[in-house]
Amino acid sequence: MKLLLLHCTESGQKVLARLPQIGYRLPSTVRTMELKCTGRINEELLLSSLEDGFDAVLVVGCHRENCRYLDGNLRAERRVQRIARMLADAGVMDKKVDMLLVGPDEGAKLAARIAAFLAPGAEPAAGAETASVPAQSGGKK
Amino acid sequence: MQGVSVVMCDFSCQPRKKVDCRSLRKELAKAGIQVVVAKKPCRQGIENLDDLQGEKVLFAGCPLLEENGLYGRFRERFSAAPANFLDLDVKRSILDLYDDAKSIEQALSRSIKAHARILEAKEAEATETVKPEAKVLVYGAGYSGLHAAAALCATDVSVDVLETSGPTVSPGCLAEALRNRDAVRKLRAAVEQSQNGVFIPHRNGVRLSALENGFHMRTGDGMEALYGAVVFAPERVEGPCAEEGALNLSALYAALERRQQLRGITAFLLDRGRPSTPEVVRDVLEAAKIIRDAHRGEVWVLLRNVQVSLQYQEELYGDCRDAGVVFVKYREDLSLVDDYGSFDIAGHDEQVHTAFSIHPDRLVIPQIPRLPAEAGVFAAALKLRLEKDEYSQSDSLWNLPNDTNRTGVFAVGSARSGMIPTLIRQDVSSLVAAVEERLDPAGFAVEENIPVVDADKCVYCLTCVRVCPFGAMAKDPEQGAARVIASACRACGICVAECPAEALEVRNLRREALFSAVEALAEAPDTRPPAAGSPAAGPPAAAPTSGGDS
Repeated sequence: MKLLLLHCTESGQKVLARLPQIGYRLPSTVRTMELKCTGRINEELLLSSLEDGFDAVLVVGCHRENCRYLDGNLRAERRVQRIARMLADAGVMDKKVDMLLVGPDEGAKLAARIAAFLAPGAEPAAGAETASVPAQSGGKK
Repeated sequence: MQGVSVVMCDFSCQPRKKVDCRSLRKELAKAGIQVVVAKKPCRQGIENLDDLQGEKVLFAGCPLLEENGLYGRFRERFSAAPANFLDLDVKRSILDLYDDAKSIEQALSRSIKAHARILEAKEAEATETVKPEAKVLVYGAGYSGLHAAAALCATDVSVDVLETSGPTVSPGCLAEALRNRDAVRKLRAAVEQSQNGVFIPHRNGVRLSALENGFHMRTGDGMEALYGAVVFAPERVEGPCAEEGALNLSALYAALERRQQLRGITAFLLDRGRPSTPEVVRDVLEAAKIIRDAHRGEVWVLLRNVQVSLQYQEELYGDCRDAGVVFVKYREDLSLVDDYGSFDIAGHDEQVHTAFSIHPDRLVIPQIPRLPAEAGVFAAALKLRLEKDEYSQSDSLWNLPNDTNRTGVFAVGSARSGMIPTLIRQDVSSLVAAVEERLDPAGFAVEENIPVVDADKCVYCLTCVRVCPFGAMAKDPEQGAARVIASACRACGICVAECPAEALEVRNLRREALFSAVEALAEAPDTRPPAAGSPAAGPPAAAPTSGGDS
């Protein structure tokens, strides 16, 4: 399953940079792309990514009220929800879009979400489990 | 292209394809580029590196140079400026054309010219600054506005103060103003006496428009002026009470100001409908203390929730309790009977679990202070984003104390996030520093990656003007298109995503580039089996070419 991570320069970039520190490696089917703010993402980009061959798109942005550009993350969230609804209405089951609001220290949360994406319905992948233990020590730094 | 040297191999290992650099050297010398041709650098190294001049060094040679570590040694040699190594592009283009010596020369020449263009463009971008206007406009001649104006005048900044018709002190500083009765008058005198301060009456409407380097203001009287920065410092107004006969906080302070005797029972009723704001609570506590101490009156403070930790008010609570103020934490079922201006209040005290009933001589119900309507209009013209309770800035992680969403507009006092005397003093000192930085005659740099408007595609729907969080888009009626105010833009790309006509493009990442980057990511092969869990996905480098698993 091919997954595209669209993330912002702030929390999204920082949380990805933290993944190796907590011992999580991105699976090889995951591609990442950085945008300055997730507010740059629109429906067109989401749909064209799915069209290009990605099975899922996960947008990683900052927490609510934490966006450097005031409400870019909320704009992205609205669009992602809209596309998700459209896909569900159209009965497209094999493509997924989702949004994750994270802080820079929530690497484990991101890892768990990626694992859930890649193995839907299954137990969280080994990577995510190992990630959760050192994540706490990482968070205290 | 001053300061560039080229070190290149003469390719003498291939006699028939030896590079004749004479013409190349001549051509490059015209552009001021020094060329050093090394003989068999892969075997012998380069001895005469000390003769190399210039800040940037281009290397051109075959892969052997990399294999035997020569590039690495060069890097060490020039370790002071590792960013100045431009070898890779040149080398790659040379390797493509390795068969033909002539085309090597052409490729090198092309590469150098391309580098020159890149460098020039970079320099041009780096020096893109905006020279601001020299004056500052302070909106509001109240307690906080005058504080700001006086501090700015003292630092030789030319200040215009726009006088508004609202009150001069808003809740939060009422007690402070009462203690220091002529504070406002003194501040006003300080501004008037300094050479830099001018008062402008706010009459017949004020029109503001945003310029590249500041703001243009035209008053109803026809006066026009240009400003580099605006300080937004209006005073809030407390609305009248819904209950006839009850006082609001401002009316109570007016009575205290008149030195009216407030004997008998005074009751403050807080948290009606919604929790009172901290600045209102502060003034209530201060008033309760004054009435208890100076007038020997009986004081009841009825509230729903005791938030003593708010803004250093624990001490004030303690003082009030010591002075004999009665605090009652009432339940929702409080009954307030209005008997022609005299009130009967009955309820249940949650803390001591007893019923209470009072018949106060005066009832004070503080109202939530609001921005006056004309200040709201002014804020809208500045594209200020007013958050909860019309504060232009709650404490945000991303903002410095006085910053607003609009670059060049600063908020002070009750416009910012609550009116607290100590906060105003802190605000004003940080404001002076911020304004000085903004008005730096050398100019301020603008964001590199701001969007550009394609006037042919723009349909003038002004979606971007509405969605821009920073008020960086404006109308351009002459062009019939939107206009980017570069000095306010923070290059988030929200307008690019929103533009229905696709007339906006970010300079460094155009639509096609973004979409083709996504496509390239989708088509890139998996470089390793997922189970092996080999190389870690480090932080992805610059967008958009980075793959997660490079």
